[in-house]
Amino acid sequence: MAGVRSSRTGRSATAAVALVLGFIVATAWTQEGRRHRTVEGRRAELAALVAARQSRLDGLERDFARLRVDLSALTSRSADAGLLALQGEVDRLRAAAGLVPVHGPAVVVELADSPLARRGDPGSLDFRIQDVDLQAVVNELWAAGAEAVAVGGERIISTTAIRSAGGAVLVNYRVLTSPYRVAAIGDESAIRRALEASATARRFRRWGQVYRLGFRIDERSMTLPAFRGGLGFRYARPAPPGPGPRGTPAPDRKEG
Amino acid sequence: MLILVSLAVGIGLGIVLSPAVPPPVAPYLPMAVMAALDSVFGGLRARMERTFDERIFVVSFLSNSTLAALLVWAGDRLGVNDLSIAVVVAFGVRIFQNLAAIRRMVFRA
Repeated sequence: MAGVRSSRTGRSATAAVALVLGFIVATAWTQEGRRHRTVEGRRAELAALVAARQSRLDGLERDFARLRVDLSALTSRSADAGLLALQGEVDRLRAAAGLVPVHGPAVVVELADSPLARRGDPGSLDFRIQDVDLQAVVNELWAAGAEAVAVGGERIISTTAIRSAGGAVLVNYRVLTSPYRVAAIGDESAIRRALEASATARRFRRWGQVYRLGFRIDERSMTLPAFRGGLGFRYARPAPPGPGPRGTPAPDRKEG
Repeated sequence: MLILVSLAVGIGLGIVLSPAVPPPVAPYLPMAVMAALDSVFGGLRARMERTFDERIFVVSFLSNSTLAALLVWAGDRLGVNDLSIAVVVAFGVRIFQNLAAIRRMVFRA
């Protein structure tokens, strides 16, 4: 082409552009690497924070359990007959409420993530045990006549929620990971029969083939731990006894 | 030759200094890089076709990279999200076309 310029200024301008180009490409390159490292570092920091808080929680719960034991020891040492009777009533209610460990024949259901699930990949949720799976099994066990149920060492009580948070499952605000062990104390052969015949078990057997989720039912005698969390009721008060209207909403409750 | 040396010096400077790009600017640097790479492959192709013009090269390099970064920045401010995809696609397509032209000239295929 006729208009090709090759003056000195043109050459040096091109060279300057090449310099700038190399500089910004190298900068973008190192920048991207740095960003990756920052994200990784932050993840480790958060993981350490979670672990620290969890161990603090463990310590507090141990204190709480010890204080509870102290309290009942002090109460039982009292000579007051009325107090002792009350203590007996409290012990009975605490057992029913899941606040004391219980021992007995148990059916243990073990659920596990599929080996096809990849760590940190949110797209592989189908290959993971999720909150709804554990809920289904727990419900099936209650329906089959279980007297006490625990998931991964967390006792199921009246305020327990089984829910997902990210890829993990929370039971009683505790993070559980695969494999999940759901243990139910009761008439083990009846529970096992009912469970094996349930739609839930059939579904899990099929998913075991499709997604390779782990699902195993065992029987053994077990001790289920007591509920370890706090039980502060700030709003719920015992309602006066007597046959009141059932399910009537409180009048001052606003919608929306 | 001078150009290759400049390029190497630029890369070396970038790696040695590895300047910290301020976070507000960081998303727009890759846009400038895309535009710059487009200019480079366009220039290479023009050179092989013997139509290389240093003035066009310098002006297109500077204006394309600045405009690409500015456009994406303005898009983010105006709520036109992901304008960066348009930049990546536009320059990406051009880069591949230039590469294909270069390949045809080099390998005659």
